[in-house]
Amino acid sequence: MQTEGGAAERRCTAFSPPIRDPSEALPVLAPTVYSPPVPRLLEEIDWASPVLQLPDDPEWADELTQRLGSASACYMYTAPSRWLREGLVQAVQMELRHLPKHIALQVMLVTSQENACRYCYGAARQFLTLHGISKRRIDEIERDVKVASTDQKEYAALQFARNLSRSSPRPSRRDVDTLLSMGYAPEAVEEIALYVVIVCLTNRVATFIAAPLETEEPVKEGLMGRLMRPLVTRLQKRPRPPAPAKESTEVGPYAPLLDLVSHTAGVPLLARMLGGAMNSSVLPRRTVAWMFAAVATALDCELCSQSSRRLLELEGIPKERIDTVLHSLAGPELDETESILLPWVRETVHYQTEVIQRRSHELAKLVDDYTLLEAIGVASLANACARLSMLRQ
Amino acid sequence: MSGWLGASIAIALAIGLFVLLVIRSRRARALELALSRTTENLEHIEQAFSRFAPQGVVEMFTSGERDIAPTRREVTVLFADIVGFTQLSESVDPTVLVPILNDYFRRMTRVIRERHGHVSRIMGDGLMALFGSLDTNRWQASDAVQAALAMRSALEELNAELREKSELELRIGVGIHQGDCVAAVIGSHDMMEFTVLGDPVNVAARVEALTRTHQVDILVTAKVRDSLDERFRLREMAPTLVKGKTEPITTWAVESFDAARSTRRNDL
Repeated sequence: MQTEGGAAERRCTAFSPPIRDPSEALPVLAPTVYSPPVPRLLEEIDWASPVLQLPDDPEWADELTQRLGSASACYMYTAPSRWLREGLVQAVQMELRHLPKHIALQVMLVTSQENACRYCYGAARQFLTLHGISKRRIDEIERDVKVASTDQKEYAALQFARNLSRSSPRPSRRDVDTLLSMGYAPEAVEEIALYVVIVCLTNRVATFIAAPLETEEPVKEGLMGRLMRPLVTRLQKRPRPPAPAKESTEVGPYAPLLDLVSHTAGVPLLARMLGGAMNSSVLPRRTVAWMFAAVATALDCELCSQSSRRLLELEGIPKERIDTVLHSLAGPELDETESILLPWVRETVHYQTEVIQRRSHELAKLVDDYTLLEAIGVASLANACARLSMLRQ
Repeated sequence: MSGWLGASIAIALAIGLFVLLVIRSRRARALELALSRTTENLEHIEQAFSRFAPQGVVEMFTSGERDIAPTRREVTVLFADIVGFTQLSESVDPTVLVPILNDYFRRMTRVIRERHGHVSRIMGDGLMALFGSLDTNRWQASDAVQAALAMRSALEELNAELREKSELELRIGVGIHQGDCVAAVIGSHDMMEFTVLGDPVNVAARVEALTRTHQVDILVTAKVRDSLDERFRLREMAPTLVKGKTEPITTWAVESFDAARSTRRNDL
């Protein structure tokens, strides 16, 4: 496996440096849609009550405890959706070959901060504490990524995470080029990109559910923290039980998306989640495709738009009708659930935590818990996929 | 003797080293404190600045971007004005009026932001909001009209509160138009703003003024109307000549939005 900076046998990856005229200027950074100032501190994030009922699933709770060391709220809420719950657990365990653990944890914090996800933000702080990063250092990172890192390469990775987790300015090829210019190998860039979008996915799931933060920082740096640290580390290193047998990695038109991260250990995870969403027993495939198409349209994401349109065509929807629906996110072509979900899923792209949680509560009055959970999973996955593919543009 | 001398030198060196370490450590702590204060200041500046410009523009400036390249893009421009504000400002005590005005702007800004727009400028009692000025927004016209309808509802709530306290009631006129604009940071080193320039801005302002002529609160142009679907209930107004245009322009009054209706447009 190629390591960072090793150029001798560099393989071509989706994020290989582009062949460009040296005189060609880098694309101009696109300005953004107005968003309120990003909350910098955990306590600045408003958080609603959960939108779902907490499922009573002791089996899943036991399995979670065995695999992750505890049955955290976010994972418990997703219990009814097999592909989503499994995807989230595997996301935590995703193998990182290029990204050092301490940077990965910082990336997690910065991404959660950008997404204003109180749940993941708190969890990231807890993780960092358990991995021996001092509270002061965490506060520094939390306060501002611009001054937190003295290492330029580390700073570049954090800045990349920050840009990618935002929907505006649109993440672009320029972000990839910046990392490459800092000496990261294309494979490493793939890995960082996938890691960031997976954290974004987790952030969205936790935010849309409004998963309650069990405690702010249950394990502080004191004696308890030091005692717990080796235990948690050991738990994380335990052999993991195999994933549930019934799953699908059939991703159809979304295959080009997997090519973007084909050199990472996380590609099977993405394939399983895409396959799971597309073969959902709760939402029909065409509904999933409509949701993906709406997110891709909102982000002006070419690759995801093409894949979603192709999937809709395969589901028997004529091209002109796809255009009509995407023009207004409404139309007689949509069934009742789709008519409700499409305007909501569009809101999951550029969101303020308070507003999206309010809208999720409104959605909860219109659909049952299973549909809502599945919609939350699909919306989060669609956002992750679109962001990933935007890096190619 | 030499042993005593050696020990003394060693002790002196150790003391010297200790003092140096203490000084260094104090200096490092002072620097950390200064850095922390600077970061906090930067945060406050960013937050304050974001009241004057879109957050993305603020981010670009604070992250070291010197220039934001002007872009030509399709933007939906919304103008809103309080009807009869001049008379109001003459008859109502400023200490009463200004808090009401600020409350009005707070409510309007909130509903505009929730519909993917941003308030670009506040001019007295008027405001200009932009949709799609910074990023591509396929649904910008619909967002702007939804925002106008939300402004109408927000104003009703404000008026209900005002009625409990006084006789005062606000009425607004909203004009919406869509077209190609230049989005840029305009101004001098002393004073700058992120805004859009072009004919659509003037037309939107003229359309807003037409709300007085037609005695309605929300008016849109043909360009905006073409982007809306059947769920928006519109009423056609008589073509009217406006300042700066040689041909009369037709506008549509926005009556309501019904999410349950089919999406094929069918104007009244």
